Order: sequence, then structure tokens, then C-alpha cells
Amino acid sequence: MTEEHEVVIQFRNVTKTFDLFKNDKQRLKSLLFRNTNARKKVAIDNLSFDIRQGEAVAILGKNGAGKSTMLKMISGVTFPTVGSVRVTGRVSALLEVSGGFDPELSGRENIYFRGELLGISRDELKEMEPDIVAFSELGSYIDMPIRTYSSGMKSKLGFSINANIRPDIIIVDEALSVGDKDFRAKCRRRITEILNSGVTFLFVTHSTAEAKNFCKRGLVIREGKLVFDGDIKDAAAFYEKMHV
Amino acid sequence: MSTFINGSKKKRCRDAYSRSVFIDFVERHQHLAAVNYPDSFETELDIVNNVTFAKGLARRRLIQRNELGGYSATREGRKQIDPEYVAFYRFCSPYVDVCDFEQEREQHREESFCAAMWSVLLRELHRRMQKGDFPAVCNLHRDIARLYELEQCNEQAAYHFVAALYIHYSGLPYYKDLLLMLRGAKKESTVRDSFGAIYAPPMIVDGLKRHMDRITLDFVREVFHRNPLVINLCSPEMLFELIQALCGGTYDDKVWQGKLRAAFGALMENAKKTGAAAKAVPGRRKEPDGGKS
Repeated sequence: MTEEHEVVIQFRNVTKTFDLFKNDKQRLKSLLFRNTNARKKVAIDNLSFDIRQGEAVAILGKNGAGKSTMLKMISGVTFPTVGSVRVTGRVSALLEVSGGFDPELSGRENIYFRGELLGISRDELKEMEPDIVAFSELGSYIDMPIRTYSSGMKSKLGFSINANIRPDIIIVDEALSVGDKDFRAKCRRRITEILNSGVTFLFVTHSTAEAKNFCKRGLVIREGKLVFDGDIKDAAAFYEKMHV
Repeated sequence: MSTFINGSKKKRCRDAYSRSVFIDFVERHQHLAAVNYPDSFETELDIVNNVTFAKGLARRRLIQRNELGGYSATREGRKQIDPEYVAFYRFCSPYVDVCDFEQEREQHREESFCAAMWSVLLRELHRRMQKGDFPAVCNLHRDIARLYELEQCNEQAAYHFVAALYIHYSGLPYYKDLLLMLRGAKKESTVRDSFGAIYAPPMIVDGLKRHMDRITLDFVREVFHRNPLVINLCSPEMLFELIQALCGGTYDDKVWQGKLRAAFGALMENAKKTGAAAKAVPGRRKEPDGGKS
């Protein structure tokens, strides 16, 4: 086995199940007693794969296939029921770009708020701040509270923060559709720059064309199972065949 | 599962393991701030908080702050790194506990990391097989194959990759449903509808691709012969054909899902016939022969 680059994301036999409760009464019962009649939903079923440093990987799958659950596990938002998920490095996740802001803080304050959550020192953030502000194109709005922002403005700020904090792993979940046409083009250029700097890139999309643009490897997920892992062209062909 | 060592020895073993893996990680990622160390350390190494743990090690002078904003190991710290613990961590098999590995390691003092791991994994494989945990059996076969690959034992690696695929495509998860159908506890249509698609796990396919030159029909037959199962969706010929399709890039998902569904249908018919025959002979209970006849 070749060891060219270090494995930065490692999934081993990962299963994630959710309990589906009919109502709150049943949910409460489940906290008190072991045996409840909750239905189990398997979101991720025995997933195993490795992603090495600097790889650009597209994750393809229909709605409900388990892509977002997988990404949430990588970004540490949720944990596996069974198996092991190992992630090495600073993760910047653009899962819900407009989420995770404190509405009472200004855009600028939110840059520090998010950055510090990611373990970036204040000095580093000070250095990054002008780039983030310029990239977001928010102008004087950057010092206004987030609650006054439109959803597009929040998305722009979210993308700017995540794309400029120099992460080791960047996760993009359909987030390249933020903002207007010009901003989207700018996002794409930034992603290409990030890719060239050797950052590991995970990209969730339904668009095989976009996946082929950015990625060399593709994972196809179906009903929580990994059904294909290989070259992006083959992965895209496999995914397209699934729809026929 | 670990029964051999008492509480304090177990704790010592776990502590040494956590320390070893943590210091090795620190040494290899000197630019990372402790807040960015993997969350999985909490579940896998019993480290409640990476930052506090790092500070604790720094107080004991096993690691020290560096100019990159992270930590690096001291000379004393590097001495604490046990390469076999690190190899165990990197191998990443969620089915094996470090204490079980330690027990085997004590018994295989002169042998390699792989020798101890084989013992642990094979024992676990046997236990899971008896328990009927077939996804785990499949995963363990794959892990054993990876271990053989590390030792360049390619023939054995190929055997275990084929065995993993064989278990995966056996249809064993449906055995319970078939029995319930025979006892009248489940409707035939319900069992038929419960059959979902089966996909080859890419990690196994990659392994098979690496050893394709060794895999022949006789090789596959040997796997069937050595691992008899109560039911099986595939014949040796069908599994061999599947391996060739998966490795040769001619795999057509629609065609294969159709074949598997048809095999499951045949299995159900066979089960029904066997069940009817068993009912006809009082006092004798037969179980489906898996469509082999």
C-alpha cells in the first residue's frame, strides 16, 4: 500500500442510526426506559474509506442518501453510532453557510467569533480580517448586526470566512450557489486557489459537471451505503446511470 | 471482551496507549493547535479534552510548545512512543480493543505486530460469526486481508478479500426473515419486498483489484468450501463472474441487481419447498439449504 500523503479523513465501518419518534411522549419515554418502540432510520450504513491530504473528492448521491450526515460527522457536528471517524486538521465546513452566526453581533465580530471557535488565534484573525471583509463585498454593512442582513449577505459572509481562514480540510455542501452570479464566479475562483494550495477538499453536489471541474475522485452514496469510489469521471457515469 | 487483565493493568495499558498515540500525533502535526486535534481521541483514546491533556503532558515535560503555535515532543516524550501502539491505532479496526491486543502481544513477544493482530482479529471473527453479526464478519475479513497485505502475504490477502465479498453477497441478513416466513410469522410478499440492493464495498473491490491475478474459479470454490453458510445468493461461478465484472470495469449495476433479486426469488422458492417437506415429516425440522440444490 502506498503512503504518499497522510490520511486526513478516515471512516471505518461507520454506521449512523437515528431514532424516529412518533411524538414527544415517546421521546421522553426513550430517555427513561431502554425498550421503546422508536423506529430506527439508518442514515449511514457501514461506510469505510480514506481521504488523503490534498485530495479533491466529490460526494454524489440523491437527496436522503446520507451525504449531509457524513459531512456532519466529518465536521464534528454529529457522531457515529458504530465505527470510527478520524479527522486530522482544521476543518472549515460550508454546510449551512448562513448558519452559526450570532445575530446580535456585527459581521466583523462574527468573523472573530467563528475564527476563535476554529482555534485560530486573535493575531491570526486580525491578519485575515481585511481579506475576509473585502471578499464578502459587504462594505459598511460589516459593522451592522447580523440580524439586519439578508440571507444572501449572510451566505456571502459565511463563505468568505470559511474560504479565507486557511483550513486543512474544506467541506462545501452545495454552497457554491450563494449570492449573485459574479459572487458565485468569485467563489469558484477562490475554491480553485484553495485546491492549488494543497488543501483537502470535499464537495457535495448533484451537478456532475461541477464535480468534474473541481475534483479528481468521486464517492457515490446510495441509501447510506458507499456504492462507488474511484475516478471522478467513472463516479459521475455511475451516478448518472443510477438515475436512468 | 478483554478478560485477562485486571483493572489496574488495563488502566496502565490504556494510559500508555493514549500517551503513545497522542505524542506521536503531536510530533507529526507540530503546526496544529491543540484545539484542532481530532475529536475522535475522546472516544478512541479516552481523552476527555485534548487541550487539557496536552497541557498535562507539557507539565510532565513530554511535549513542549513550539514556535509554530503547536506542540512538539521532547526527547523524554519520544521515548514514550510505542511504535506498535501507533501501528495499532493507524490500523483502525473498531472491533479490537487495545487491551486484547496487549494480551496477544505479551504472548507473541518475539513476533511482529501483525502476528498479534491476526490472533485478535481471527478470534473476533469467530466470535462475530457465532453471534450472527455478518457485516462485522465481512469487515473483519477485509481487515485481516489488509494485515496480510502489510506483511506481503498476497495469497492470504486475496483469500480474505474474496471471503469478505462472499459474506457480503451471501444474503445472510435475510435468513431470519426466511425462517419467519416458513413459520408463517411473516408474509411471503413482505420478505420479498424487504430484499434491497447489494453493493460491493469499494474498499473490498480495491483489494480484489490488487490481487486479481491470483483469483481463479478454483480459488473462489475454495473460499466457499472453507466457509460453509446456511444460505447463499451466489454460486462460486456467479461470485467469480461478479469479481471479474467489478475488477474488469464491466460491472453493470442494473444487471447485477436483477441477478441478485432473481437469486433471492429462487432462494425463497427453495425455502418454501424445504419447509413444506419438513412439515410433511412429523418431528423433523429442516432449514433451507440456501438454493444450493
